[in-house]
Amino acid sequence: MRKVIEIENLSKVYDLGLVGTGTLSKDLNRTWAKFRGKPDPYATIVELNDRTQKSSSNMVYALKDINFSVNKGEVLGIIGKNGAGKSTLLKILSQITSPTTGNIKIKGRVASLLEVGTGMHPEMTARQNIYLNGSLMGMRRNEITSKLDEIVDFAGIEKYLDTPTKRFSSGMTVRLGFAIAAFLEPEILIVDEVLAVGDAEFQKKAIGKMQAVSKGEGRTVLFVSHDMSSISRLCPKSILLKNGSVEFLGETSKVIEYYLSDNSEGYKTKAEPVNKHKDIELLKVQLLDESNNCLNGIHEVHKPFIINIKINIKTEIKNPFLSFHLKNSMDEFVLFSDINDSKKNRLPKTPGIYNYNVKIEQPLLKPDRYFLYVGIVNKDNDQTNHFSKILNFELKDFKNARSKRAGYIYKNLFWDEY
Amino acid sequence: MSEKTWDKIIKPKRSLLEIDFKGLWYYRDLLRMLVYRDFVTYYKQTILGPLWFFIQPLFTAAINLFVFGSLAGLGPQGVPGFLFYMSGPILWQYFQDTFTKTASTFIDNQAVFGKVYFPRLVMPLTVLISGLLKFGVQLCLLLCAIVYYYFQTKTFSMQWEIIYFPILLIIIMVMAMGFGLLVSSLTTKYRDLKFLIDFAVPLLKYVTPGIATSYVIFVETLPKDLVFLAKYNPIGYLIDSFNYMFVGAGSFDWVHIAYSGGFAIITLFFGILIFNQVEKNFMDTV
Repeated sequence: MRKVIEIENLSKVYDLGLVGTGTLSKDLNRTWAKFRGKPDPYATIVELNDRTQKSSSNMVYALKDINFSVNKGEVLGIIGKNGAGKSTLLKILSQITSPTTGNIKIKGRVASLLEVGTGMHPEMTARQNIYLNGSLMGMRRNEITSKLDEIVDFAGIEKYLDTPTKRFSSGMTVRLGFAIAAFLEPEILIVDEVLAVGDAEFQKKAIGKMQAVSKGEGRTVLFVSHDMSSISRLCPKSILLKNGSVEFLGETSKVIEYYLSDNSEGYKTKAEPVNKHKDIELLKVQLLDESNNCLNGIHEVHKPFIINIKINIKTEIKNPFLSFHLKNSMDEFVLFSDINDSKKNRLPKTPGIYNYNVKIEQPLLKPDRYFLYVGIVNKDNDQTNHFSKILNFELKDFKNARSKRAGYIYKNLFWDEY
Repeated sequence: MSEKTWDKIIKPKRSLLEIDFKGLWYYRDLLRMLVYRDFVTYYKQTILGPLWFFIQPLFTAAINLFVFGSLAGLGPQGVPGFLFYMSGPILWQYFQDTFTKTASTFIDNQAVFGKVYFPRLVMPLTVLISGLLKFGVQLCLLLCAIVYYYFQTKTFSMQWEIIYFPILLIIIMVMAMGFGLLVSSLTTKYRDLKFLIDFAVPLLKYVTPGIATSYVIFVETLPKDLVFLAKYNPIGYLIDSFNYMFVGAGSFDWVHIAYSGGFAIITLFFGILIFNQVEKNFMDTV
């Protein structure tokens, strides 16, 4: 495999300081220090970029010691939280800003789709804007002329070719911008979160084009997105950035799994409450996958999961009652189930520890965030024990773009044609 | 694998003289499109449209004639005052527009610069050439006025030295761009300069020979201590020569032209050097 991008020890330091009345004197101090051969007096502490901690220094690493290379024809996904350094990396790659240390070696023309429609003038017609935008991205005039028909066709704007783009809807503008970049034919294409706009049909077209670009034409694509489903569809390999460093590099499914598990703050899939004075003590509630591993917090919507409840019955109880229910992110009741759903459990219990597994076959619940409530009642003396929102988790569809259909039930049905 | 030829190496630092002229040449189509954009969209949604190109110098000439010619009595001898007060300001306006617009290159184009890479020098060049189109149109207007006054007064105001006009034009372009580049590089960090430029450049017009009156009268009128304002002003010589060539009121001296030319070249040289250093990292400070 031939390498087209090689990144070596790349770091980028940002000065968070405000430019104000002190700037000039600081600059003079710096120059004076440099003149005497001393280090920059204001760069004494450079910190890692961690948003969760308040910074004590004004100098911060947006990227620190990045090393990786990309082969020809590869589609590499780049994921990471906001502020992980994704945009900085792309900005350095597309030469908008330069690194502080290290270097990047590039073979071929780089074009970036950091934000489509850049440099379009609203007063000019679509045709004029195609030429303007294309040449802004480094296309030659005759190159654009030869591809004009394809671009117009891809963007679906034949009728409006001579209309000023200020009369365009925002979707049309984005489509036009993407179309221009897609036909640019650079050796390396950088795409940042553009697929978020445009209707489903266009998104499909755009993804198809990106796949064709990499597979058929052997071009390299770097794709940054927060949308795990499009990353996993497009990129066989991904890179995870965290606080400016490469945290994980490998197969996309593994990277996403790592990212989600690392990023599942706020989710809770396991709880061991303290309620010792009750007749029936809830020892543990947890969400498990099919191989009995605790869930990450974000779960693929097509895989079944298990609600595991462990209780300790302390006295002889004739009529114990266990239930749970799920509410969605809108606080709507979605599912209720109790121990009487299964007849064999409707029996008096002797003291001891009992374990219950309730399997929820998926797809059934649609992609959403869910909150689990557990209720335990000793019907003999009506002692109740309620746990609101004891666990919460999210179901997500990593594969299907149609994850936003209405309703509560998520199931493909068979349409029998006759 | 070791003998690989990379097309581009992105490094932290760039040496002083490493200017990407090859890239600039490659992006010549962009320059063309940007100039076209400026021209097409300049007077969009106006009723008078390109007519504004003519209205502006005519009114400026009329007002200048009234203020400097009639009120202050500074008008030149033996030539139509209207012609004189039209020619100087046309050239000055081109200088001023190019200078101030180039000076705000980085601030005006932040959005585009922040998203796509292309040689940043394309933008100042666009300003230079777009302005030239407007200047050309206004120069035609001046020529029409000259012809009109020829039929009126039967004296032809143009001098044979007009053949040197291209040299003059190149010097003023080089100077405007040089000053603009110097200031633009500094404004990315120190916005104070923008405020300074915005009010100081229009004021500079009044202490430049060739606008209110010709160089000779200007030097005579000035108090002795302030004569240096006229003597070392590199733009003044250019405007005075321009007035002489077209209107016949002013002076033409190769020593003066050489002084202005040298000044312009040095300014442009340092302007490009600094611009080239600033362009790669300006997104971090702007």
